[in-house]
Amino acid sequence: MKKNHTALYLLICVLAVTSCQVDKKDDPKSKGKKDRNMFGLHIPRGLTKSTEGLADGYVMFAVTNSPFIYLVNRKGEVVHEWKGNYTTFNAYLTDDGSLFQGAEDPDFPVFGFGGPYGRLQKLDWNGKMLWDFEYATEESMVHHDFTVMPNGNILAVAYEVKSYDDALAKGRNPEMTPKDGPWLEKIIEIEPQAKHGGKIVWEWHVWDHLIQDRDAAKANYGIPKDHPELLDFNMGNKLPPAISQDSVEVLQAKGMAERNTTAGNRAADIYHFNAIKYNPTLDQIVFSSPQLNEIFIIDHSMSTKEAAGHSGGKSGKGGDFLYRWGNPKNYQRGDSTDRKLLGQHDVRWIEDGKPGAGNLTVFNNNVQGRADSLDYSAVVELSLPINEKGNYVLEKNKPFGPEKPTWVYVASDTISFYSSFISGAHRMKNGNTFINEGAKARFFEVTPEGKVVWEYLNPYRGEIRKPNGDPVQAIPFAYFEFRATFIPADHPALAGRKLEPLNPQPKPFVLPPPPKEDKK
Amino acid sequence: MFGFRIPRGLTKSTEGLTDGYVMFVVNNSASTYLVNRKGEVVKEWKGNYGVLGAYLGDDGSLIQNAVDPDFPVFAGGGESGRIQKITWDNKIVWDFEYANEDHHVHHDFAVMPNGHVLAIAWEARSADNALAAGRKPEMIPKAGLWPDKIVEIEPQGKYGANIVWEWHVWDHLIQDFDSKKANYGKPADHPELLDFNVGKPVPPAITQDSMDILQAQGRVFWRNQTADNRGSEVYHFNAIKYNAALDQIVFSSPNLSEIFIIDHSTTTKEAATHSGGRLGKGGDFLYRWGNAQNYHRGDSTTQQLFGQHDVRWIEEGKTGAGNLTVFNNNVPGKVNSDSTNYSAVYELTPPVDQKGNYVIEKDKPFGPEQPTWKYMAADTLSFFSGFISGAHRMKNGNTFINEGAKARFFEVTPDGKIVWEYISPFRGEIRKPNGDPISPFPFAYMEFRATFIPADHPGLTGRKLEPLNPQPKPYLLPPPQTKK
Repeated sequence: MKKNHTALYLLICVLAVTSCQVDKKDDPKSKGKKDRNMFGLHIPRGLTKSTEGLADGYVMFAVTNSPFIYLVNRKGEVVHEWKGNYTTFNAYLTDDGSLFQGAEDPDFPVFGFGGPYGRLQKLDWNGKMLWDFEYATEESMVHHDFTVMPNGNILAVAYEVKSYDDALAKGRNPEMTPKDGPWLEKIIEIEPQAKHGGKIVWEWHVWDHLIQDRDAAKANYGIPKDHPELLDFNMGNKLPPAISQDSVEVLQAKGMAERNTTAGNRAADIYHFNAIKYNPTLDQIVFSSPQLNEIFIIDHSMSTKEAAGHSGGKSGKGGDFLYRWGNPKNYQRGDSTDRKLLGQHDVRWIEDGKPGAGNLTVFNNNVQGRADSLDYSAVVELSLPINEKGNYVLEKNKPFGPEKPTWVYVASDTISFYSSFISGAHRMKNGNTFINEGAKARFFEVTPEGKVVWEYLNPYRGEIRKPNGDPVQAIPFAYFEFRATFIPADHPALAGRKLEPLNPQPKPFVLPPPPKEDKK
Repeated sequence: MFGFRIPRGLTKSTEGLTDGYVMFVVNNSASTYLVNRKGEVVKEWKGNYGVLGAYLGDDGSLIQNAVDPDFPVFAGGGESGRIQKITWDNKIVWDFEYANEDHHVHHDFAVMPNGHVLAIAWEARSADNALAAGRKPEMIPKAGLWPDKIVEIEPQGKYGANIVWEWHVWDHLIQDFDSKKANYGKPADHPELLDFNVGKPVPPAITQDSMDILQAQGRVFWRNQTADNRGSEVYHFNAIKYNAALDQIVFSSPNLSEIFIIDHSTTTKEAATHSGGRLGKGGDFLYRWGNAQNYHRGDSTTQQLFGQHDVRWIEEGKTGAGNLTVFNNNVPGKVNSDSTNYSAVYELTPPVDQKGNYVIEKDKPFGPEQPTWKYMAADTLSFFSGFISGAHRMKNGNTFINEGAKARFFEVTPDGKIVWEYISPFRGEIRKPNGDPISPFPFAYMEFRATFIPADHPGLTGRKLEPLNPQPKPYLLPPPQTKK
């Protein structure tokens, strides 16, 4: 329980300027434990390992605290940069060399807690802003991740506020309900329009797929165990102990609470969807909720109306979950010993033509070690239990399979590969797996046997300041990375491009020396 | 004019000064300072965004306009987009964003006795609308026009507001260009209306690609400038004040080189028309001054104001009460060359009859013919700010002046003697949202609004005003670059 809380706390403050280590330091349990330097402060950076016979290609990643996306070659040289107008966290390259990125809206209201961005943008190869769409109001806001569909539409994860009363009417336990109302999640399909516009052409709301066994007089009453296709609305975390608005402001002044935090919205971010991918062959969507420690697959082959119901679409199930994995406790078909995921990120299908095609990969951030400080991360590959009709198979009273991943990467000593938040992984064409250990921005390639054949640590950090001119504290999030992607040299976007190292190379960020008290 | 590399801080002081402080916004920062007569900073308010101007309330809070970091569409300078209230203890208790594709608060606002805020805002009107209202096609940018409006804002909660009254210049236009279009009439017969064809033609067209190049080179001044919206910002209202006794509003348009007074004792509906309100004129101009050419009752030789800023009524109890003061930025020099232009502060006595009406004689412009009082430098040239700036009357009869381009704040006696002078040495560290630094050239220290706050201001009652320790660090301009 305590462990879970810590992991969530780290998730929650992933993008805050506050030091999440403060909490750990104050935690008597962590006294005397070794600092694992999860953030990789003061370690060698740049290219740290290379071997013979690598697949030719580049790493694309967003530079921390900057509007820059870099392409770095196998020698660790920056060969291309895109520069936007706001902080960017993640970008996906398209076939024409333009990229779509999530950019942080500088004044989004209401929401917060890690991974906010509020804007989706398209930049061409030369960095010209072709599209800059703001989706950040008091009611909803895009955050964390999005995926570009073959037709150029974008599927994005977004918060939507529901009122306290609405949540209670849907059967949520008042003790789990923040006074300012919880932030549910939705998925919206955006068709870009002109330079600043976007048409929402399809949407799906988790709100429409809830169940609860707490109050028979309220909506959604039923037995969660019998409905794994629905989300038990009373799963998740309790509210933190109440504090006054004045105390929130004290925390804010100290940089220990986010800009939009209020006494009534703490823990409002109940699901925190942090990854989304689209599978055009199946016309399905996969997404991840680290708060629930589960990944989910839903159907996309239906109207928005059907997506709000329980029938329709290729699968006939409407917008209900087709598949879920990671924490069967959520649908009362398991307990804490059956939990497979903890605070996971970056779920993806392995694409056609790659070893393991059709399987899912996911970065499992917090595999439990024997004590807090022994937690570690793993990348898992899952084969999905699909029958010949394409249905996800689930046996009566059993959780969804598989029981075990098809493939797992962990460090040989377990603990040296660890990022308790952000991060990701994806399969390469040669069968290796490309991993982003996000907290320290370590990007590396491992063979199926788990051998590291290439490794690079981002040495860069931009100079964005707060809107009032105050510097953004570099510790502990000096170099962190939400998304890093291997771009093979034969990616259509790179056809005919000159990719010479920039001259001069960007200047690495050098962290100020640690204070004296840091000695071991 | 920008005062680079001149001595800064307190540069002059004399005996017998009124006790008090200067309140000003630190350029390129979120901070507002109070500086005492010794030039020491005794108080700092700090918000979350860049600040343009701030007014002190009786409870020690400020109402300020802050620069919204991502406002769309509008451009032209003085863009703020947010009006905020920040307490003496730096708590933002109200943060109202009024910046979307349709409208945008900018430049200035006035706090009314009831706590409402009267603010200047742009509103977008399409090119077709402008054409239909009788504007000449060559004066209409493709993106349309952004005429000004005045909105009365009642703060609600932490982020909200009700617009409880509004006035639009759009409703008070006249034109003699096309009899088939709306607003047709003779401007000379209607000084209460604005000739819609006064102003400048649209600048020569450039392509959006050229615009992008200029933007990339940092040579486009306004963030949202496009090839199609050059010239959209037609009137650029830059100052507003409210007179509670008269229930009237005065505002300034430097693009028209005129100041205007309108009635506020109307409903929004009446304010859109030509009747109603205490003086029966609806939202039409009660008074205007500075450039009678605009209503065809004068020519360039009768123009009095040139790109002026900061018009205000002199408050009750002060010398000249009821008169207006205005900072006249660009008085033409004797040589037909910009380099001999200078600035002046004018005090005007508006021609009001015993019923409170503003008197205008047939075919004549509004008086007065001459200001009641003027300040200019003895050599004319050494007091000059081609933009921003302001002035206001003090209780002792002196006038407090902000020469904005160099952020020089000084107090002059009625006979033009300088008794105190301070030049702001401060500049904040706000960057562009993408982390790029903001070039300090040429606007290293500039100041939009600086206000003398007498020591007996209710906002300061019971406050300890010791010099901050340490004092904020003055900004040092990098040495000039030698170019071959």
